[in-house]
Amino acid sequence: MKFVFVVPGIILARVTVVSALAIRLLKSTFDGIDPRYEKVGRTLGCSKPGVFFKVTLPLAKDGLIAAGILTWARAVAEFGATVTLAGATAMKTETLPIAIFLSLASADVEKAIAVIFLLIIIAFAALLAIRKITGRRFPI
Amino acid sequence: MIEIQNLSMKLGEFSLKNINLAIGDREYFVILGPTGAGKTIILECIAGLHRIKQGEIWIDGNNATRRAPEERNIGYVPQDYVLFPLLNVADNIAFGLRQMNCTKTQIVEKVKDLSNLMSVSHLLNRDTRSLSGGEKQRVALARALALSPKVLLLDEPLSSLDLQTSKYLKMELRHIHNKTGITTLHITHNQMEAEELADRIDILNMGRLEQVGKPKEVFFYPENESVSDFIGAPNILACDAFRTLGQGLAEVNCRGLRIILPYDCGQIKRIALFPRDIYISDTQPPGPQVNRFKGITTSIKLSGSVVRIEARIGENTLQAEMPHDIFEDMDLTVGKEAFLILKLRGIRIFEDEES
Repeated sequence: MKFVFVVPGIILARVTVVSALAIRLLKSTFDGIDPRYEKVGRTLGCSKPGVFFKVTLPLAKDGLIAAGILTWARAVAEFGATVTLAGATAMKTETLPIAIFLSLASADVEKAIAVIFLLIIIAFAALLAIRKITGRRFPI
Repeated sequence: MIEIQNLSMKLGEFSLKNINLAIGDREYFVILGPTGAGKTIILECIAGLHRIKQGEIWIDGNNATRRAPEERNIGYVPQDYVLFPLLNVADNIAFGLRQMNCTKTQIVEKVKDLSNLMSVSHLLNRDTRSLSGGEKQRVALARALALSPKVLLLDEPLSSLDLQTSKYLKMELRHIHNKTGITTLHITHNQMEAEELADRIDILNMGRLEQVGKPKEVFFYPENESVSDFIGAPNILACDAFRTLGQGLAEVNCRGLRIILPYDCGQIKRIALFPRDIYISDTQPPGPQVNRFKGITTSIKLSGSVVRIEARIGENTLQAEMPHDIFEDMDLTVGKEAFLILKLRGIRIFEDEES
């Protein structure tokens, strides 16, 4: 599979960059769950995999969604690794940050500002979504 | 019903040392010990929540050592109850029944029965996070009883409740035990709780079982210093003779010490008095000379903010304690006279059951 200067390159670059953040968020979500819930679940008839799906995962749901949104928001704004691996080709490997870069490079300030506003709207939408999902449990 | 044989376990710096214990069918058994003694670990071993490398656990005649928790048929109420926060009260109670693939009718029926037994039927649709401590405890008990377990394991079930609720729920626990007949293992650091609830108690200290027996036996006949210290190092006096005085009072003679105490029935064999229930003074206090004695101070030890004073009265040595600031205002030194007053309400009696 080819990654250089093609769309799979964008995906690979973003996954590489955000996976560390995603793992950290997932770890803190699961670490935040009191292990006694699993212990009680086991004594109430759940097997080991059963207790994960019936107790731990539902308890982690909010955290997992919040982690997903934060990771996605970080991926949308990724520039460095993407431009290095997938290049900056208009209409081919043109992500939002690359679109800003290309617009500024061609002195198209209006388009750059429009895309910047689009990114800002995405960022605010992500924050609002997390607040709604987690019920302000995570200070953001 | 539960038998622990030669159980040893090391968890970090802490270790359980060669635990041997047998709990009878329908018995209410309490493991009593200070914080960090290893009570919860024993409970979790019985529940199957730790891998046991040394020793065996038998439940209802079957070797359960290698069995998974879900195969042991036990009900477990952890400390602080750990109710599932995303489920309401009814769903918490029904959780175990759902894992057993019970039909909807069976679940509804059982939840109704248990909620009536535990007096939580009016709370079934409530979010568990909005319940009070006592309500949470009753829901946790209902959840644990849902699978009709053979053994009920209670991890400090009253420790986070206020005095009044705890008093009420103590009676509830005993009532439920009498009604269901489930063998119950309850762990606590609270001596009064253990004495009021237990058929038998076991003192656990630093991962070692120190003494097993009926509550009064353990209290009046501590087998070693560690047990005596844990129960508050009471002064225990053997009674040579006693006579009833009427009006609920009796006089006992403990090696020359004549003590008047509340009396109900039976032959008084021993009496116990906590050091905190003996007032000591350097001057003779005024008032009637009931349970007041003159002795000689034999030792004075400072222990934190309290002073422990030992005084010899005839053949008996009694230990009293008082706050350090009060002691400083007195003229008590070793070898000097001291006047002791025994608090009537603080005297505890061990009676001969056969009489």
